[in-house]
Amino acid sequence: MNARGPCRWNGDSKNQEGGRTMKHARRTRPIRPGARPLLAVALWILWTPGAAAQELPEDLTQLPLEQLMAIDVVYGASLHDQKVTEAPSFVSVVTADEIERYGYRTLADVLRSVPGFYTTYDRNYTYIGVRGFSRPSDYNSRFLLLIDGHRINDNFYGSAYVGTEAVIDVEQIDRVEIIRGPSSSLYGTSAFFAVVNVITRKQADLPRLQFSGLGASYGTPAGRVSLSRKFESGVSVRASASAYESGGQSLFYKEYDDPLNNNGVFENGDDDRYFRIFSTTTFKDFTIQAALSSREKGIPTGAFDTPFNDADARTLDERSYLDLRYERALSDRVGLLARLYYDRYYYRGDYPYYSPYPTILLYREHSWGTWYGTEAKLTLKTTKTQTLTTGVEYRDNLKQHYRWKNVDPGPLDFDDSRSSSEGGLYVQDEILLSKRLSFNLGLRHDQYQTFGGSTNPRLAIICNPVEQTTLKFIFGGAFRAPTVYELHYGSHANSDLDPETMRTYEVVVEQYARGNFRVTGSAYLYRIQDLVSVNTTTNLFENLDHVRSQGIDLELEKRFKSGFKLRTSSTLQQTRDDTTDRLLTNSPRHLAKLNADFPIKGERLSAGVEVQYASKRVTLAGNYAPGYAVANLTLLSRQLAKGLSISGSVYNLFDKTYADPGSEHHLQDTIEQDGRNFRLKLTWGF
Amino acid sequence: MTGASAQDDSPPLEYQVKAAFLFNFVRFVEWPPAAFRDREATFVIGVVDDELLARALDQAVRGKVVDGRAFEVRRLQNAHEAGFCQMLYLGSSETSRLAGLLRSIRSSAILTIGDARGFTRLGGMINFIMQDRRLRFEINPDAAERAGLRISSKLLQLATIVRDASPGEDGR
Repeated sequence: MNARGPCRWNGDSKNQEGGRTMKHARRTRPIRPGARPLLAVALWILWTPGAAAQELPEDLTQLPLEQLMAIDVVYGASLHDQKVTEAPSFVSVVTADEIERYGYRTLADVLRSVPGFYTTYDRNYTYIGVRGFSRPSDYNSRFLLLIDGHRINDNFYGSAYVGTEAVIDVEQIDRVEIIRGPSSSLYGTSAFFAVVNVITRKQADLPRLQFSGLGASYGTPAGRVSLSRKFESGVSVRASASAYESGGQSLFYKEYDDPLNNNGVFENGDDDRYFRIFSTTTFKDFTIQAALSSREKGIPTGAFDTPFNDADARTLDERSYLDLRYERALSDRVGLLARLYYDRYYYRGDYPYYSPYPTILLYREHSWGTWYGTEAKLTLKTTKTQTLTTGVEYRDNLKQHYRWKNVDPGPLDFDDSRSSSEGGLYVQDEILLSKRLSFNLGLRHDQYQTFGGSTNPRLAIICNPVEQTTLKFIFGGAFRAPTVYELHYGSHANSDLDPETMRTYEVVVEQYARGNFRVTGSAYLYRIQDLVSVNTTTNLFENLDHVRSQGIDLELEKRFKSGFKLRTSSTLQQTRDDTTDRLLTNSPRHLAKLNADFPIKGERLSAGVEVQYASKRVTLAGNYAPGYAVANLTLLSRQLAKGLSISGSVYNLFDKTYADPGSEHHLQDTIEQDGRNFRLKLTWGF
Repeated sequence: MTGASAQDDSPPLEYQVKAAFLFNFVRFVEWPPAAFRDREATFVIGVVDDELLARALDQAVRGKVVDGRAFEVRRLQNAHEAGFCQMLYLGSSETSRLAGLLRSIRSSAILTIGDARGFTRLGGMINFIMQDRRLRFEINPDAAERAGLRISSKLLQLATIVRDASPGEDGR
């Protein structure tokens, strides 16, 4: 991940700073081996909300009429629906259907479409922002990304990738549940601003064999093949492989507009390529998931003081995991989920530097993260009115290895590996006091070998004063553990860091009306403490910043009988530094979204229209990245011929020029985003 | 709790349940042989004015076979196009439109199903009604008889019966 090293090691300061880091790079005491098996035996039980829900089969036609007549159709209640809306939070769900209808290419596209969210692209990585908070270059470590419950954030930078660097193809996604606010009381570290829970498609929903190919602007071909089979033995398998390549654009930056820097034009450096393999095998109560992804991207901005227009500046990110899950309802009242996993992350960054001008030497940064973990979760419906969830989690960071090397020729400059472990224990109690009132109480303690412990609560009162209205009052807490990078390897590493913490207060109102009309409103106050920032005097990471954020979200959704669907939202917020009272950088005061899905001819032809607005954002230099509105249009035909679907998208339909704020690693104060661009996609399945 | 289901890619539960009802009705209604072109002809369900129900039906009947017949869901603009249908769902709740639609297929062997106050008294055969958040249905056996359809007693037992002359009970 990129160049947390280069910003330190560039130019003359390289050697002396390297020395300092070596001093910090003591190996931590290995954990007592005896502790492992015990914890490894512990099982992780996932949230099984079935107890409270209507248990309905996938295929309702198999039910006799009498049972159909007994279904409560107003409160539609498949298992996951219950989970989402009973969650003590303001939750959004984006489905496979919407991903297709709006032409979403990446998880970043998905997230950008929901209330309060925005993204920032520095032409290398994509960063998530929510409710006015997007920390520059945080690699999304303040968001928890889960795929089928498996934690994606790595053990080195805590990163959760959502752009082309993400682990998963959006075509594999059944739905994305976005749970705003802190959820550390359930999930531990990184469940800070939001939990993004990706649920992948079931075998039965996929064709036996599917091919997909696309062509897009900037010289972009991509293809995907997926298989889905259920065998007589009861084993069901789905697997997919995909590859993507984009030539990218020539980019102009006025900050480099001089003859020495090719007059500000960066050529041949915006290339982007990835491949991904993803498979899930299910047998009885067991599920094995395997994922592998690799993405390589040129850095076309001269970031980290690399020579401008040098295409050798690039990053590679590889992420893989193997996850074994056992999930079972032991009885009507008891659900069990256990998980065992092994994960890997690898990052390589190539950074050419003048040493001295005009000689260019290539430096290479590596980070390896390897870890395994186990989790167990038990859900007990102790009485008719009480559901108790308890779980334990343990992770062993087998390897957190960092290397910085002068490639040609050059000795090893820095090479160090360490390991650590962490664990968590939590309990959540849902108490149904009456038909109209319930409590949700949660508490989790996490213990880290690195910094110690953190305990985080959540208390929510959920009431339904009348049938179609839900009110949620939520008090929550979260923490983000300092990463091994911040503690030991970063240019500003400081092994004395404490976790960042926050406490939040939120009220959510959900109102349903006849005719598939829904209104959701939320008002919140976040108090964030001890954010890790560089102290300009000591040049070290310290728990410096305290931030206060308040705002409101409002979302309306209406589905018409004709199939026309409309969703619109607006977020107003203010996020200020407690000490300086200044607005945070990259924090739009106002966000607005509109999504409209027009069925023109049933499944034959539909149009998805999307408009996203963000108001101006303060940049690092104290200027403004102007506000913008961008529209996207996707036309989709699902029945062009049997099994064949085609979609055509225009992104940034009106060719709006807009830019995202740059980070401290960029000379550019803002980085321009893509203009109007196209994609044509064909999918054939049978 | 509808928050999520309102956003789900499958139609809201109400439509899925209605689709399941429609599929079930097939087993409890007897069509005259002349209603089908031949023994292998598919069973065609027409849908007017309700895209969500059409989507729910698409999912519900996928791969299903009853009495050797596969299913097909057709989206229709008008009842005139209902010639090859054995079952027709009318999504409109406007009395004038419903009356017109029903009139144009009167005495065809098509099982008409609706979801509107007064549907059965306008000549519709089965009408969904919502009671206590659950779906019930009323049946006008006279209308079915006129079209040459035989509705089994089991289905009639579960339904509220509305006779042509009776005041009916289709309130919600």
